[in-house]
Amino acid sequence: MDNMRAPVEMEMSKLPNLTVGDVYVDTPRMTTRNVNVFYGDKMAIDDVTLDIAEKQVISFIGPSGCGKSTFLRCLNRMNDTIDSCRVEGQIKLDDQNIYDPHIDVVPLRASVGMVFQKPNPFPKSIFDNVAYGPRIHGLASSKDELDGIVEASLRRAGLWEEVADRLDQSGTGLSGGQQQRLCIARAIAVSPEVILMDEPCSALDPIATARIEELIFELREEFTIVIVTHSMQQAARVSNRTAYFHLGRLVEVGETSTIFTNPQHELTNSYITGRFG
Amino acid sequence: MSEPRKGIIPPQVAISRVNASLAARRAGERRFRTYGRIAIGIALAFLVLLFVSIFTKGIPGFFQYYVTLEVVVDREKIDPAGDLSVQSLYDGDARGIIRNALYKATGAEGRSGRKAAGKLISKGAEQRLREAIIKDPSLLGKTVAMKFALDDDADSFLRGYISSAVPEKDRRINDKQIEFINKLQKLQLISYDFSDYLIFGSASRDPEIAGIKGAFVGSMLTLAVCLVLAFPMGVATAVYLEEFAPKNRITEIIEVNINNLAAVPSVVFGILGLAVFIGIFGMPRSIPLIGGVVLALMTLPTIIISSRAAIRAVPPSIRDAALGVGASRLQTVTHHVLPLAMPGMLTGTIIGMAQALGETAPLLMIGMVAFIVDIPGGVTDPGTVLPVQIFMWADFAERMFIHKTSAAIIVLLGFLILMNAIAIFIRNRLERRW
Amino acid sequence: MQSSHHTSSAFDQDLHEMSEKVRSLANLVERQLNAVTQSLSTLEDKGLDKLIKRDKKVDKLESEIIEQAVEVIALRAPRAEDLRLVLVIQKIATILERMGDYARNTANRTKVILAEGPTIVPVGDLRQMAELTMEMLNDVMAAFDAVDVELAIKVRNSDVKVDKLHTKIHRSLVKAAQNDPDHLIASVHLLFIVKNFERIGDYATGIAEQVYFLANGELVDEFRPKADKTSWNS
Repeated sequence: MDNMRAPVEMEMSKLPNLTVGDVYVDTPRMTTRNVNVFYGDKMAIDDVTLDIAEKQVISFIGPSGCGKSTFLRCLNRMNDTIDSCRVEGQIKLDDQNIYDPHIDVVPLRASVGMVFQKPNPFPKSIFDNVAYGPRIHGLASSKDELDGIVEASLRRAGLWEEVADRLDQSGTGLSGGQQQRLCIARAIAVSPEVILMDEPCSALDPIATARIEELIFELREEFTIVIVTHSMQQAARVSNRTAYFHLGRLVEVGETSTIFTNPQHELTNSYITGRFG
Repeated sequence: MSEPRKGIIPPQVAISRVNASLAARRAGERRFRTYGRIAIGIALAFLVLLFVSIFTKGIPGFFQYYVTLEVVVDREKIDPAGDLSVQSLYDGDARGIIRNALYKATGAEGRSGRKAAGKLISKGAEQRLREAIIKDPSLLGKTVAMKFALDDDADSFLRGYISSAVPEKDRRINDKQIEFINKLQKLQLISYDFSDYLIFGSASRDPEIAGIKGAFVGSMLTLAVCLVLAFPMGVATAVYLEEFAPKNRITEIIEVNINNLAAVPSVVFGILGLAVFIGIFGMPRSIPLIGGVVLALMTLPTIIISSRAAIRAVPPSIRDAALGVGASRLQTVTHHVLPLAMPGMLTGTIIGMAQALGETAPLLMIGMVAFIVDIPGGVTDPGTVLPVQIFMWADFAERMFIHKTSAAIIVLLGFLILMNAIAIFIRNRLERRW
Repeated sequence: MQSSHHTSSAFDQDLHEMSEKVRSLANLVERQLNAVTQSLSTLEDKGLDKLIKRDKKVDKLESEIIEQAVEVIALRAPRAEDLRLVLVIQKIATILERMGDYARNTANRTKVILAEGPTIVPVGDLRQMAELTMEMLNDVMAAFDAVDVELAIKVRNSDVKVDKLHTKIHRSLVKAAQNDPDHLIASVHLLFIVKNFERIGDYATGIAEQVYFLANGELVDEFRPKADKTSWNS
C-alpha cells in the first residue's frame, strides 16, 4: 500500500506553484482567474489561471482524473447540473463574470457551445436537430431564415453535401462521424463565440477523427475552440496552444510546437515522452 | 519463464481434470433444464385447465333459447291511448298479446294449462314487444312473427339440466310444460341463438334477460375517471421526483411512501374512499366518480413508479445535449425527456388501468354493489362495474347465471388481454434505440 | 509529390513547404557551384566575395529545414512514406549544406590562386569535372522531384567518371608540382579544389541513395563502382 501512495505524493510535490509558460494572451476571449472546483470536499481543480485566446484552438491534456474535463465544464457552467459541485474564482467571457448571480445560464450556453464525447444527436430529424437551438432562442424570424441557419450550419460542419437530400431523416441513423459533425452543426447553429469540445473524437474511428480534426482546423477562423483530449497526438495535430493539467493543477501552457518539442516542466516532459514512472 | 509458475495447474493436467468434471456438469445442466420444463408444463397445464373450464361454461352463456310466435298486434290492446306514448304502452296489455300468441302455438287450454304455458316465456318478452312497436309503429295492426326469450327454467330444461325422470313435485318444470315445449319444438318454433340480452341487457333478477351492458358502461366510466385523474398526476409526480426534486430528506420520505403504497391491499383504498368521500364529504355512494377516484389513488403508485423508470431510461446524454445548446431545465424535460419516456409511461399506465379494470374489493367498499337496472348516463349516476357484476351473479343459484357469469368473465378477460396487447404494441412500436 | 492528400491540410502544407525549401536550397547550391566554376574556367574573379557571403543563406536555409523537420515529426507523427520523406529531406538538406561549404571553400582557394597567378590551372579538365558534378546534382534533384529511382541509380553510377577525372587531374597536378616548384601554393590549393569537386560528386551519390530509400524504404546495398585511386600510390 505504501508503494502505491508514494508516487502520487511525489508527483504532488513536483507540482509547480505557478503555471509554467504563457498563461496570458493579448486578445483573450475568455479568462479564468484562480479557479477552484470542489466535488463535495474533494478538490478537483486547484487555483487555475488561464486565458483562452480568441479564434484559436487550445487543447487541455493530462492523465485521467487531472481535472481537464471538470475545468472545461466550468466554462459553460455545465457543472451546475451536478449538485455537489462548487466553483470558486472568476471566469469571464468578454469581461463578464459568468458565475455572477445575475447571469442567466441559458444564453451563456448559447454563446459557449459544447460538443460531447459520445455523439448525442436528438432522436429527431436532422433538420430538427440543428433547428432546435435557433428555435428555442428565437434566432430566426421566418421559416426561410431558419432554413438558412440550418443549411449554413451544416455546411460549416462539412455535413451538408451528405445530408442535403435527407434532412427529414432521423439524426440517429447517421454514422458515428456524421453524428458528431451533426452535433457540431447543432452547436454552431446558435452562433456561439466559443465552442467547447470534450474528447470529441474518442468514440470515432481514425478516418472520422481525421475529418473532424480538419473541421476544427477550419473552424478556428470563426470560433474560439477549447478541446479536451486524452490523445496527445490529437492535441499536437490540432491546437495552437496546449495546456497540461496534472492532479487538478495547470502545470504548463504554451505554443503547441514548444510543448511537444521542448516542454519546460519535468511533469509535462514525463507525460509527453511517455515516462509515467 | 525460467521459474515454474507456482499454483497454476499445467495445461495437460488441467485438461484431463476439466474433462473428468464435464460429465457431472452436463448432467447438472440437464437436470436443471428438466426441472424448468416440468415447472412450465405444470403451469401450462393449469392454464389450459382454467381456460377450458371458463370456456366450456362461458360459451353457452352467449347463447340462449328463443321461441318464435305469431303475434297479432292489436292496436287498441297495446296502445289504448293511441299516441304511442310510454305511458300508454305501459297501460296497454302487451303481455296479453304475447300470451295469446303463446296459447295459440302451444294449444294451451284451461286455467292450469294457460298458467303453465305463460310461465314458459320470459318476463322480459313484453318489454321487447313494446320496444319493437316504438321502433316500428307500422307493426300496429299487423300480425308479425317475433322472437322472445324463453324463461330460464324452460331454457335449463332444454339444455338438459332438468330431467323428466325426476318426480314432478321436485322439478321446476311440470309435465304440462314439458309437453308444450316438445310441441313447440316439433313445430320448429324454438331456436338456440346468440343472446342479445347478455351484451345489451342490463342487470336483472331474471337470468334470461340479465346482461352486462350496465356494468360495462359503469366500468368504462369508472376507468375514464381513473385515467383522467391518475395519468396527469402520476406523470407530473414522476417528472418532479426525477428531474426537479432536490436530493434531501423530504424527497426521500416521499419516494419511500410512494413505493410502499404500491403494495397496499386495494381494499384499503376502498375504506379510504368510504371514510373520506362518502363519510366526510357526503358524496353519494355507488357512483363511477367515487369509484374512479378510489381506483386512481390505487393505480397512482404504479403509474408513478413505471413513469420514473421510463424517465430514468432516457440517457443523460440527451439531457446534456439539450442543456448544452441552451435549453432550460423545463424545456429539456418537455421537449426531450418526456417524449422519449412517453412510450414507457403509456405502457405502465395501460397496465395499471388493466389492473383497475379487474378490481372488485375497493368498489365493494364504496357500495358499487347496487342493483342498478338503468344504465348510468354519467359519472354521477349510480352504477356498477363488471367485476362486481360477476361477483353478484356468482351468488345466484339459477343455472343460467352460471353460464352468464362465465360468459361475463370471458368478456372481462377479453378486455384485459386487449389492454395488455395494446400496451405491448405501443411499447414495441415506439421503443427507441438510442 | 504524393498523389492523394492528407485529410489534414496543414500536414500537406508542412510537407510541401519542406520540399519547396529543399529545392530552393538545391537551386542555391547550384548557383554557388556555377559561380565558382565560372571563375575557375575564365580565371577571373566573377563575384567570389558575394558567393562567400551567400553561403550564410545556405546555412540558414538548412537550419530552417532541420527545425521544421523536428516540428513535423513531433506534431504530425508521420508514418511510412511521409516519415521517409521528412527524414530524407533532412538528410539531403545537410548534404546540400556541405556542398555549399565546399563551394565556399573552393571560392576562397580560387581567390588565392588568382592572386598567385593562374598559369598552371588545368582549366579544361577542371571545368569538365565541375560540369559533371553539377550535372549530377541537377539530375539527382530531378530524381528527388519525380522520385525516379532509375535516374538516381544512374547518377550514383556516374560518380565513376568524376572519380576517374579526379585521379587524372590529381596525378597531373602532382607532376606539375614536382616540375614547377614556384607555383607550389597554387598547386596545393588546386589539389584541394579538385578534391572538393570529387567530394561534391560523392555527396550527390549520397542524395541519390536517399532518393532510393525514399522510394523503396530500404537502403541501397548494391555495390557502387569506385574509381578513386588517389589514396594509394599510382
